[in-house]
Amino acid sequence: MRWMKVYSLVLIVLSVLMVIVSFFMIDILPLIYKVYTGNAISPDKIEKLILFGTKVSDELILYAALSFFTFVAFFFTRKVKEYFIVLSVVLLLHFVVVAEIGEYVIIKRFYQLFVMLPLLWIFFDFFKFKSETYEKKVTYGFLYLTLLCLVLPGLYLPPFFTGIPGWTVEIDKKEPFYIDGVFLVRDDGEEIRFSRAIVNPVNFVTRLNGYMLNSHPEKVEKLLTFYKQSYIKRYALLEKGYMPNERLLGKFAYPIHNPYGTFDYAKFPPSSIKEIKLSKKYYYWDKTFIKEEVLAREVW
Amino acid sequence: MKILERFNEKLYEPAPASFIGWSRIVILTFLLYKFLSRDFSIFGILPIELAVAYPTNVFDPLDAYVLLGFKWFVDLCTFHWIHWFVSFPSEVVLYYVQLFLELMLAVALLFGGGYKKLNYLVIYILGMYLLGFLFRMGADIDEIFIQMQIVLLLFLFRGKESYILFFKQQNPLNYSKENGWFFSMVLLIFIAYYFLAGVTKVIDISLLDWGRCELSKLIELNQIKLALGDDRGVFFLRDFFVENSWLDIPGTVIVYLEHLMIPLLFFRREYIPFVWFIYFLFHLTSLTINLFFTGVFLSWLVFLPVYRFSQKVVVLWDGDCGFCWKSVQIAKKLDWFNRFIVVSSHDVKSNQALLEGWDGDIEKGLFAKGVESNKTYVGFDGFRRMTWTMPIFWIILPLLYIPFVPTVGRWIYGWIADNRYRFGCNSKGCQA
Repeated sequence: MRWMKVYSLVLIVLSVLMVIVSFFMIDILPLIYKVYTGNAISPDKIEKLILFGTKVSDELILYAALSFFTFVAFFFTRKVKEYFIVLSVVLLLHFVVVAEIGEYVIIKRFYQLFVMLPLLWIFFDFFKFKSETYEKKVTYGFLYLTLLCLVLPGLYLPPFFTGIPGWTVEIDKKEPFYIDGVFLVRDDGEEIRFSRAIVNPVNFVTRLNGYMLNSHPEKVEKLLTFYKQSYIKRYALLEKGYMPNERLLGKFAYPIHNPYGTFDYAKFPPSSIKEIKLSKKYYYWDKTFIKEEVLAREVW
Repeated sequence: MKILERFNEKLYEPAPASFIGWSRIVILTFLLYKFLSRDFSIFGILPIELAVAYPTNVFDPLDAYVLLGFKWFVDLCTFHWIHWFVSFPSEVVLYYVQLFLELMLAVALLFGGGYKKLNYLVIYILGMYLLGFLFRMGADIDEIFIQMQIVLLLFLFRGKESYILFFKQQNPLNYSKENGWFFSMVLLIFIAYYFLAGVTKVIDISLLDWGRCELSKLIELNQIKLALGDDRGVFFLRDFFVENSWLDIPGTVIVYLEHLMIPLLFFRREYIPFVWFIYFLFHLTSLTINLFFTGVFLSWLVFLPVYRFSQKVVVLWDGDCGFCWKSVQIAKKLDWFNRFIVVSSHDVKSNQALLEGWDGDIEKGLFAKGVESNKTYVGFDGFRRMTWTMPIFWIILPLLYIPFVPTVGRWIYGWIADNRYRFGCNSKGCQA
């Protein structure tokens, strides 16, 4: 396992460098943003980035320290078995203590990447691809791909991916909540919810809305036009009380991933609609309406 | 390495050919059902800003969910690389691509993969291409990845198929190592899907976070949003969860632990019904927060051992026991398709080939075994194996696999077996 010593040494040096880099996060982050998204960060986001940079630098120091100790321990491993024991211990320590302190998933995933990267070599050595039968090659190929998904953070090679992320939900009933989405407004001011099922197979409408609002705020009207076109095209079905997914199989149709509500679109023919809007409606837990924040609107 | 030896042994554990045919039927029916309920032509009118979006653009990189969902990776995997050379298709083109895919699904469903299993390859390419429009937005990932992986596996499988029309095929009850490999691979696909989700539960979040999933409050919020006219479905189980917040932590912990322990299923396959049941509850529960995993629900059906409905079953009973004799007579009456081969313990010598795998101890209870199979079942498990062959019991059959029912069943069976002379046993041998 000489390669493990070399790898550990590299990572020990990187851990030290990470501490140094953590002091310059505010300068480095805009560059990372530009490389990753392809766009320079807009001035209104700079303030958020500075705040984030301050937080993230603290967390980087924490993970640099953890990495330092982890790779010093890896340096002294001589067998694969010892590596697995150390790996189990550090992952357990991370799960029980460090993950509780750390906030950013991306840093946790990169820590996971560095401590598990040796697995790629170990298993490549372990599975003798060349000498195996056709079936075993397929099996090992699949397992290796799974391992890649495990090690590389957020690997996305459809139909293979890293897995559904961990989740926590904490809700304070005293805090207001909101309902966001697309609404159609009739001539007389009546509103109806624009169901996500109308643009099915697109399912996560709020995700599309968020993407357009964040990345192309000047072109949100194009999104609303898309919704409008879809509504008009599919109105013949909607009028009869069917959603587009029920076009052929009626009520026995395959449901969509996020079940939709029932809305009477017969009372909202396209000719009677004056506006389509994207908004957030805020409420208290007792259903008291607080306010509406219109994020975008388009005259029909 | 012992584990590798055990892995290889399990990888080729013989399985009946029916599994391949049944997997094809389940997965392709599911895909056909899904595509018949979708209209992908809508992507023909998608604004260009959305059409060129990728997971890296749509998701917050800090969540690291699909951090590496870059254009090159996604385009190569979804065959959208074609749009490096050709412009995005119109509604009409997409309509015909979908129609052709549906036709191919129907053809493969009836006739199998055809020459070199190319039908599956066409289905995979067209399916990935159409679904690619969703995958680019990071949508539908956990709903369809398992199924598409199995389609790819059907293409890669080199053995003969079963349950197809007209073409050469295997007898569904033919057990072979090659078929066993296919079964193992399907199992590995499910294992990888859940296990990877399990690992994120120990990396992304901490031990204390496991207790911070306030599911009941989230469900209550869903209910309130629904009452306020949000775009959500009605689901009857919500009320149950809202009033039972004590379920939050154990429910979460059970699912996370099952995610993490699922690789063991590869070695202990008798627990498939148990795991299936827990995931059934998990996916049912997810409906309370407006997530419906229809695809995963249906895909688990691949593990339904349909061959058992048609396989002949050897049943060995205690020839000295009158109660057992009466029970066997009833079972024979309920065996409407004449599948049982009943053997008395007095006739063991003349039926040794049929009873391969029996340890010779009739005191353990009745012994049952599928004729072509190597798996043996004793006592309550033997009775449960028999119920697959008796249509009248099919309605209670799923109940016999619910966690803890087998434990109770084995206890009751053991008690009855120990006291069988009290239930009409009238021979001296039995009393002895």
